Amino acid sequence: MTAARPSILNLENVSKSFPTPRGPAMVLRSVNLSINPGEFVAIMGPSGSGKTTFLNLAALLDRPTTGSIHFSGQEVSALNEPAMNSLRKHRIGMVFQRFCLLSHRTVLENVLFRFRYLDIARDQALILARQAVEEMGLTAHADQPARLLSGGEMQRTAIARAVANPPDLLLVDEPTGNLDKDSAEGVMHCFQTLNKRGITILLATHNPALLKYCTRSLTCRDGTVIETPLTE
Amino acid sequence: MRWLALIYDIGEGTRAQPARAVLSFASLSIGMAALVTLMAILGGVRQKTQGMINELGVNVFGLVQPPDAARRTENATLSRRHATSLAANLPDTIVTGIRLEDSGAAGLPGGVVLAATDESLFQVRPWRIVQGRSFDAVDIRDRSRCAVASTALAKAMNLSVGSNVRLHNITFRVIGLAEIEAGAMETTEAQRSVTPGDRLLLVPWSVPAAWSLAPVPAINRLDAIFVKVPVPSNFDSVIRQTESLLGQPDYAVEGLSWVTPQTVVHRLMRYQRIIMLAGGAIVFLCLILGGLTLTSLLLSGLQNRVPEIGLRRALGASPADIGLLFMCEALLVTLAATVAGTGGAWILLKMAQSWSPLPVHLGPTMAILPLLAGLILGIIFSYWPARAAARISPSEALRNE
Repeated sequence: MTAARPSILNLENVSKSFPTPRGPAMVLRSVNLSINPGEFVAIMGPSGSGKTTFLNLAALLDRPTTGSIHFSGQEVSALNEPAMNSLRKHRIGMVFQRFCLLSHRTVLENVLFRFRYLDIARDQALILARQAVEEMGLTAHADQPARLLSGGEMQRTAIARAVANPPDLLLVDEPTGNLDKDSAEGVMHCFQTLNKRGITILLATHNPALLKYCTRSLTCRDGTVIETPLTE
Repeated sequence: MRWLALIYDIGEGTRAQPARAVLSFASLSIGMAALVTLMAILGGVRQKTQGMINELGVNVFGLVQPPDAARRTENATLSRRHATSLAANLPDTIVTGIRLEDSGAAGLPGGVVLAATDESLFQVRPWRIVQGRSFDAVDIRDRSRCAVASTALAKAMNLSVGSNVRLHNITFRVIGLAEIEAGAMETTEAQRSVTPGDRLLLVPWSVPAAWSLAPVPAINRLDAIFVKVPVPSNFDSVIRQTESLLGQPDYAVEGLSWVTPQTVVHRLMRYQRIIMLAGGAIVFLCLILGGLTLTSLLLSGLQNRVPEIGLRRALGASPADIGLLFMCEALLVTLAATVAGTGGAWILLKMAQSWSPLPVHLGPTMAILPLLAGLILGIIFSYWPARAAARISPSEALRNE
């Protein structure tokens, strides 16, 4: 008999509010949610619905106002800053809508930046970075400054950076928002490949066309997160 | 890996805003150059003070006759009587005197100082016999027609030990050559007896000055008396005793000037204070201006680099890592500016020294202290931006992405 694998991310009664001059603004209300290893989850919703706040909580960049978050079975909402940092840098990858690349640096240097705060030998980091660059089909651009890349190439560089040190959970925020249709498809295929390799992906988007790549869909509405069928 | 990466990262901020970085660098360089110049001049003044004390002689003080003394009665002028009395009443001291003679009347070329003295002068003043010998008690007693020339004078007049020098058609034999400490103290007419310059010819004070134009040559008159106190701890008490002796009615000399290490130091300390206040204020303002430019560089960099900070935090950087990055960037600018400012000031001061007798001292501290100042400046002026950068919430930073 084998023990059941714990969900990679589990939110229990999670609420998040932000202080405003007119009192606290509630962005997420009593969210209960569980994401299992290997899932490719899309979180949909209009702008301002709380998707990014949800992603920040999942990325351990922020703490819930109330409730608890478990990462691989470990309660993390009460962890101290260094412990949260450690979890984030070792087990979580992030891809941003505007890529967040260091424009002066080359593609390879940007991917290598994933290891900036990890204790890993430079040679080893270089091998992993080259591997990620190759997997994203960027070998020809490896020595090119990031500012000279196309949107699709920039996003693939950002993905390579996120997965160079393979994460347990990859958080993706509007990855195709700044891309044309072809580039967007190329990027989504990359995510699909990574998911097939076992990386759990949580994708925030308001583009329903991306749902076809996902295995599960959630919707953020009025501060709550609800399960929605993929066909929606 | 992390330290190497930090070094690589440090250039990121400065590369992102080259114009502001150059402005900060330039203003800090000017501040550092001003600091080095001030320190070098203050060091030079300190060195000059030491040189003046050395020129007078360590633990030596002088009593200088006022310039109008020739018009006074014999009782009101400094004389050998005073020197003898001081020597008798001040145990464990060496007393000597000097009388300036009319070198022009003696037939010596301009710029040469002719002085009469006794056998103790070379024990009191820091002048050193480098060839031959000085006067002895027999020369003084026998009124020997001998002379001691300074090495500079010997070179100018082609004199050596054994050669003759004529003073008003009377031949004096050169018995010694002496190295005269000169140049630190200003040579003024009023105090030529203390600082005779480096072209000096000394004769025994007992030899009648046949060349003197005075109706009755005042052979007992002295222009200055010098007292050496071999035991430094007795120095102040000997000065007080001398004052007390000279305060007695029989010995009083009107308008007598005292030249002590304290008076020498006091005069230069006044200049030093003025330089310190004026120069220090300029340096302070330059450094503050440079520091503020640096803060502005970091703050504007901070605004432009919020997404980068977010990315770093997302990749596992701690707030301390972010703060350290900003502080290191500031230190890179300040230390580069320190090196440039110090080097520039060093070159300019060396050039200025070759053009004019500027009292400048350039030593290893001139390199170490600015580096230390640069380090402190970098830390102080980057503290606030570094703290602000470290406090940026990663989620807020990434929202700005």
